[in-house]
Amino acid sequence: MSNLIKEIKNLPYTAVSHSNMLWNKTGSWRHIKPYYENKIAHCTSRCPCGNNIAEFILSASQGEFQKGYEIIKMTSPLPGVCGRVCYHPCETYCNRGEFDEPIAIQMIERFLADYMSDKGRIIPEIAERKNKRVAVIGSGPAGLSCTYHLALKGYSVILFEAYEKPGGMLRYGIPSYRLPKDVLDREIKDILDAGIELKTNTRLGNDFSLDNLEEYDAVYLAIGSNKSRSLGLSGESADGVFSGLEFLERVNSGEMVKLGKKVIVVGGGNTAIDTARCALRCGSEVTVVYRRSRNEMPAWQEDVDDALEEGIKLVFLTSPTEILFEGGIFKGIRCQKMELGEPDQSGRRRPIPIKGSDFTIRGNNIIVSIGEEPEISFLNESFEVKDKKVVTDFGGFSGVRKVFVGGDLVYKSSATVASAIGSGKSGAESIDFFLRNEEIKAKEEQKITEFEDLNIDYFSPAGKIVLSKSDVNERVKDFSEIVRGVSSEEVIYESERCFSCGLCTVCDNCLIFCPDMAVKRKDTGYEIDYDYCKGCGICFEECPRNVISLEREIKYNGNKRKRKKNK
Amino acid sequence: MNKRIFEIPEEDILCKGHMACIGCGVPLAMKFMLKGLGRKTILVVPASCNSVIDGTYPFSASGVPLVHVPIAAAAAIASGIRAGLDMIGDIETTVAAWAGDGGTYDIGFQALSGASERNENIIYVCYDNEAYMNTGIHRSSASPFLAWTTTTPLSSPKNVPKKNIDFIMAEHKIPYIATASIAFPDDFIKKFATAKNIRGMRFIHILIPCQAGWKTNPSKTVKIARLAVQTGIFPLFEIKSGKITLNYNEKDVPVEEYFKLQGRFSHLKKKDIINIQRDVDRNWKRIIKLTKVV
Repeated sequence: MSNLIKEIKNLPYTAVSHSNMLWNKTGSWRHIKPYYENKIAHCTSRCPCGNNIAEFILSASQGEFQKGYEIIKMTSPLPGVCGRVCYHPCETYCNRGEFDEPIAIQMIERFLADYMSDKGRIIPEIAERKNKRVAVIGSGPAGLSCTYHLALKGYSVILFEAYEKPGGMLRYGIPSYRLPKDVLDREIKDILDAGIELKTNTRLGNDFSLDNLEEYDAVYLAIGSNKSRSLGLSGESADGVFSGLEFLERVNSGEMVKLGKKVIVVGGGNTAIDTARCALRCGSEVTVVYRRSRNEMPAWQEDVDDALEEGIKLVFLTSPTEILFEGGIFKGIRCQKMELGEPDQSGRRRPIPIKGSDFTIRGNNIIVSIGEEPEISFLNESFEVKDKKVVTDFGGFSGVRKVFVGGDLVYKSSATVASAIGSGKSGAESIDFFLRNEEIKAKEEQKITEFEDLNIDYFSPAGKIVLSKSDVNERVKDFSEIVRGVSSEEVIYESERCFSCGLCTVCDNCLIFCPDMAVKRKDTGYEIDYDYCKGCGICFEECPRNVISLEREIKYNGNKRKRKKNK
Repeated sequence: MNKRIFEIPEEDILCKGHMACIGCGVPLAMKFMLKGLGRKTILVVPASCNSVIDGTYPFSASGVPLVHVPIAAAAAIASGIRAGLDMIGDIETTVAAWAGDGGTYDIGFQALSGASERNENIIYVCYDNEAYMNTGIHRSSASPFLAWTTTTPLSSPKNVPKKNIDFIMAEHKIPYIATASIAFPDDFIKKFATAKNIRGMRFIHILIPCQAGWKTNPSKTVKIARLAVQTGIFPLFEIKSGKITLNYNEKDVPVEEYFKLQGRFSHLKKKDIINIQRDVDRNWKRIIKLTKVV
């Protein structure tokens, strides 16, 4: 350039720049430093199984269903089950819920599991075989999950089950209109195929005791809450009186239980609603009697709605006081009306009887479903027991040598399928630490992306897919599944709605909006050129999904302070 | 992976190491403009922030030839460079004047108006940060109503509204006028690419938040630019041969959202905001009405 100008004669002297500004390393101006850091999405942080939800939905949105399925399988061996029966706290805490409608996470999980059902067995890589043996007692969700994760870690596992088939409450508690048996069989088979030895019809306490398990290096106890609570009224042994679990077990074993025309179900939990809906499918008219009101019901709200739709009558604020029977045959119950008082320990308002409000409900059968508790008569005194459940440390260790406890048997467990699966996973981790003679570590706290952390300017409203159920008049005739599946197009649409909170999707916003051209592409994602980054924080602000974090740059303030002190 | 929000050209012509303040919007606008115009561009920069941003002699961060000119002369010198290029038969190179609001609204206006009247074949870009930011945040005729600047202090904030430069330019009957925002890079770059292929005088107006003069958090620069559009304070439109089209049709955010992020408006009272909201609504309606005129 300058040579060219010299050639032109008679041109006045002109100042011409000959080089760029790359020598000016503006990074020295910076006092706040941005850096890339993927964070945990709000939904993921609330998943009791610890499923990496944002990641599997991201894979699903690109049509990579197998990859999405593999991501779920890293944490949960039962996606088809959870995709149907989980109470999906992920959807409750989905950040998109605050924007328009939450993502149908559960349906995406169910789709991925069903999609892969005929594509062969896929489980993550199994670690090197270890010469240690673990006994898992109980093949419910907690036991299955623990077995699976121990097998992945390379341990030899033997699984004990009291009933004829594995699955525990998933098989004998949950009716097949919510969880079809073939889905359960498929997923259990996948777990057992990892080289698990299964011993069915072997009940702890009857067929063996904990002392017989000396040969094993660790024991995982997950027998669940397998005993229905009783009302404590006389006449509970009369003909026509069932306990909730007993009834469900018989129905789920394929038996058409003979019931009378009118059936009374007592209770307000999930078991009560399940028994009521099963009794309806057995051809009876069903009335559910609950001592508090709808707001206090522990049952899943959606199931209660379904039950009402199917024609089940709910009678609130009513408690049975007497079982009426003639000649050993159940005839009805004497009830008392209740009113709600102050909240009790569970935070729900306590029911108080109203004097003189007695009345009678006539019926042919009564099913008592007022809650379950574990059968723990086989436990010796060395276990710390509260509320008929075992107290453990955070890793599931019971305090008794090499015995770990999980699932509903744990004191203060939340008694859901998902939390049982999660408890099985953390139990397997604890057992792994224990067998490697390491201290059981608590999980590190991770940063969570909540709604306020997102830049919602980059998202536009889009409605949730419509989930359809089979016709109410048809579905009460048999036990076939109610909630219909969705197509792959619908799943891709739905997963594209996902904000991918805390997960870099390579959207280029940081690259586009950097005023200093300090963001560079890498193979997957970006890196920051700290020689030039001035630390304005625009990338942090403009990242739609909170992938960039800011931290204060360390400066030489320390020296100054010291000098002042010496003076 | 790769859920892109904006599809824009990959190559950066503007170079690293420029002297813009932390969180300044000008290099962003310059970066987008050069992506739209390409390397065959000559920039004409009157005295303004960009005179400093470009770097110290003998260095330049722009990546294309850039001529520093007196503040009153941007449009005149751009016209001259264009004439020179035409003489040597270079019709490919684009000549763009890149002036601040002082160099456009006030000091440079006679040259701009003259060049527009002659329909010179140049692009004139006004990057508007609503005051003489480089000399010390002094009031210009682009400063908004009731804004704080060092020459309209809190005791007497600016008591007249901002000059409507876009419609003044429209009345010059030039072929292309557009407003652009750094918060909408795809729209921004598209407008420059459109302008590049039109012959005659083209005027593009960009609103650029200034973290020092507007008293804002540097990280909010793009957010504020976006709010200016979303609130309807700075509508995105283009006027092509007299026909006006809106490029961003939603006006769903109250002006208060825009003001509360800026220290220069921190003295505004409820009734001031109500008044400004009414003016913004009226102006928006006027533009909507104009879009329907064929």
